[in-house]
Amino acid sequence: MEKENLSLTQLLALEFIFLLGSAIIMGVGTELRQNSWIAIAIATVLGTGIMYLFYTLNELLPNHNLFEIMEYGFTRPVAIFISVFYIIYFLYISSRLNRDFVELIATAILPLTPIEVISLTVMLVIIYIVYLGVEVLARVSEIFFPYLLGFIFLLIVFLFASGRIKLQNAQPMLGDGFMPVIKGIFPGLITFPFGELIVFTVILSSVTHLKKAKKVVLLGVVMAGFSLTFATVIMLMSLGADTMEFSIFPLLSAARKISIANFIERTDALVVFIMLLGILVKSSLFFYAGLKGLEYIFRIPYRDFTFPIGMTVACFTVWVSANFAEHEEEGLVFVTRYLHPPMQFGIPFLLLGIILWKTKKRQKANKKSTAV
Amino acid sequence: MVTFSFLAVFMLLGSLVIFIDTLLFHYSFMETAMNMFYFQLTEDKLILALMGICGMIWAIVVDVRRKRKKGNPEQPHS
Amino acid sequence: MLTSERPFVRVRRKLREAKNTISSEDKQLSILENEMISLHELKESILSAFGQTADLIMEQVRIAEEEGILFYLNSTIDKSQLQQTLMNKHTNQPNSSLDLKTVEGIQDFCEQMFGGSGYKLTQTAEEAINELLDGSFVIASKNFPLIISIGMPNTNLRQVAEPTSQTVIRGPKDSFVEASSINLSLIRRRIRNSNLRFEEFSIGSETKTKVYIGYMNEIANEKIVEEVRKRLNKINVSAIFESGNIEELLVDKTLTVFPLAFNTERPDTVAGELMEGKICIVVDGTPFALLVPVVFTDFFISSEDYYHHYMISSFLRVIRYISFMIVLIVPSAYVGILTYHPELVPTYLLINIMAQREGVPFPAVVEVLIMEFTFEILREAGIRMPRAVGQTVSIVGALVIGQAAAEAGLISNIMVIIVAITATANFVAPVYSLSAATRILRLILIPIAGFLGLYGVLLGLVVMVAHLASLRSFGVPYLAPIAPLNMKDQKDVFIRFPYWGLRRRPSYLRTAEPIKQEKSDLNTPPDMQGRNGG
Repeated sequence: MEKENLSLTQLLALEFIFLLGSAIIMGVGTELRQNSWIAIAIATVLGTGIMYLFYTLNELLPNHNLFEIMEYGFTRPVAIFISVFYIIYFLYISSRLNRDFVELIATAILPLTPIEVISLTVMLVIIYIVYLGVEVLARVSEIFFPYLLGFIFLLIVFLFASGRIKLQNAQPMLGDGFMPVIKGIFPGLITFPFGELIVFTVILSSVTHLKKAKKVVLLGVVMAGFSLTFATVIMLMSLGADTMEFSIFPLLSAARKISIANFIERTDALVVFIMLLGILVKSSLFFYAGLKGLEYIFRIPYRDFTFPIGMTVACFTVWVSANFAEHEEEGLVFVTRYLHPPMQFGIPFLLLGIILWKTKKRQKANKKSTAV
Repeated sequence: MVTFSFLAVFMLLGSLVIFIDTLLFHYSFMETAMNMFYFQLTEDKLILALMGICGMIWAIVVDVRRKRKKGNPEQPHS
Repeated sequence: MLTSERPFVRVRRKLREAKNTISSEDKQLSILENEMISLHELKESILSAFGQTADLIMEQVRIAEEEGILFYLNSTIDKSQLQQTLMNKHTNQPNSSLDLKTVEGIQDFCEQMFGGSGYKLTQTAEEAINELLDGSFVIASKNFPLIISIGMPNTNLRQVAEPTSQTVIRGPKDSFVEASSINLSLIRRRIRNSNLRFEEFSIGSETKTKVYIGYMNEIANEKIVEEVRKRLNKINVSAIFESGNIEELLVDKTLTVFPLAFNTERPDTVAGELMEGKICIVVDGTPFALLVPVVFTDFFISSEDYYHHYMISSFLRVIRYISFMIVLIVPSAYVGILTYHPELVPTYLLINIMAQREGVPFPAVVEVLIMEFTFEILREAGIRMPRAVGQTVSIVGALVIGQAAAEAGLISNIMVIIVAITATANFVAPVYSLSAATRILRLILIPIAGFLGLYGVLLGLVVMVAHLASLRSFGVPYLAPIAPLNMKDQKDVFIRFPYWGLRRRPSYLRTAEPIKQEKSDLNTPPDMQGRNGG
């Protein structure tokens, strides 16, 4: 269980790819139609607050990841009990993300391949990366970060060049007032993608300069949120509100409309690359967080767990839902309302409260002892 | 311990998924469990079974290796 | 045949391992006890060690009026020098002021007669045998307490010539040769600095090959030098012939196709990298020297990058990176796209390709694999063929086979183009080790693309990047300075800054002196005002 080191650039790259990865492909807030980008912008602001909360948790107890913080706040048996929930939660979300990715590939790219094979192959890559360590994951995301930005930018440029952007698709803005936006944010946009930043409490303990990390972390959220807003606006303007609401993969649909000089067409590959990267990073992080939880409970280095638990996640990628409709419904109804809020906000708030109280108690005790 | 955690995670994740399906679609517990495992074709189920078995074997191998290491005293690494 | 013996006492064996680093002066000073070996015993042990070998010569000579025996191995001695030394009649004149039966007398005598020609005084038969093997001749006499050995190895090996594998257009054209003394002199000539240190090791329990490491004392990181020394001393094999053997034993133990040490034939590359803070390893018997620690971007640097103008060098660097990607992606993307996603190709191109593939009986994967293996066979054959025949046969072979196969309908025409582009792009890498690694990776990616299409190619590339990110060479991450990203080091990675801008040494080497040069005053043209005034 040696210390792994992440630099600040790697942290920024991880965060950006994490937030952007699956949100940009699956489309967030598409049911809000023309107001989606406003909702995302507001959610970004709230998201910075959420990230600050998670960062504070790590700042109060440096070098402790989430589970060790829970041990400090509660006692070890209670922490083990809650960790079980967190482990299952992280691994479940990892399976769901894999399922998203497998659906994209099976729908658009490799329609004849059985989904078990796709699930197995992507899980093997994730297992390999996590086995090598979170440092390697950070380096990989650092390397691919400029390419991700470049490809998104390229897609947007191509969309402009194809003449697909129509400003009237973005109107009417706030046609039904502000209430739909609020309804969309709570609990939908807050938990996905910004609430998932809870995973970062597990890796922030490995960052070298934790003090400087505050700016970097918040900057990452702002950048990702801004990019997401911009991309949503572009998608809205090129697809129109109806198509965007009913399409499964809005970015893919938008990319399919690109046609420049009859030569640059069918740029599906770019979209697949973006999604591959985003899902890899996101799923690896959730997987790693789950393994860290297992390491905390059993006191065995997490590398030993990688392959068996990885196979479990790969199996459950298939079993999580029978078809895409069920997957969507589970995601919108159950996960967003009943699974994410307690795990992402309930317990961390409680934890933060307890730790602040304990730190104040300790400070008072110190003052007393020095005063005497 | 690794095998134990493997089985525990498997069971717990399975129960979570079945629980969600039960809530959403108002089947009973057992019906959902049966539904989940039987709707696929045979070859694909084979891949899944193989994956599960591989994971299990690896977990057992890791446990055996750890026990053996604990049995012999640690050799100093150069 | 000498019959009388003055029984000299046998020497205790001491300091066997430190023989590597003890110089001749220290050796003489380490004579602690007066225990010596008899001439008869010495002759017996030499004869039993060498057996009936044809190149062992024993002659009787007279040294300072004493009868003695001269031993040497015919194959290691420079005969002309030997005759010169022994023709010198001084060695035969008695010098009455010296008592040659004592140790001090012998030492004085040798200093007088042989001083400056690298003499050694030894005591045991084993040391004498080692000296014989190193290219010295050994003189022993029954009255001398010590055995004199004078080194004159022959160096009429290959002369310094043009490098065969890493050629440049502009720059020095000398390359290393097989004799390590000449190699060390080539390096020393370029860095006239007393901080350049060489250390000698004798590696290989049976072959006892001489291996030297070189480093700049004030620049290279001490810990890395210490680690290199430790690893070299740990090597326990029987034979070392080439730096490749040392490379495999020296680098970190990981399962990888990528080379973890840089090998080069050019002394200017070695000198340049030594100045950056790396450590070079020169092995006697091969012209290829190793450089450690190495990072991935080092394999895209050729020494002539620094001799050409910086713009053209930057352009060529970018070309090298692009060709690396071409070798990996083009064959597998071809297979993947044609098998699984033909709709990704622009329509007219697709029609053309499909028309060409009309008569081909194989699926794209098999076609590509057949062509790739054929090309590998041709390439290997081209290397082994004798020079005169080689060029014609390889070119003709490639074109003819390719063309004929295309006409016979076994492969499509576009396949020939792809294989040709890939093969040519493969040779752009300046160092052969990396192009070998790329060949293997390409052959792995093709079946993956055949199995999973473009998605498989992307997955394979991500796995490759993750694998690269996890490698370390002597503690330095293999992908430094790209990941972890260090903006200060970027001046020499994808583009090359002008020479006045390259002020720092690479930070991942953690050198003792990170700054190479001061900020230079750039030249501005002189003021032209004076012209009109006169």
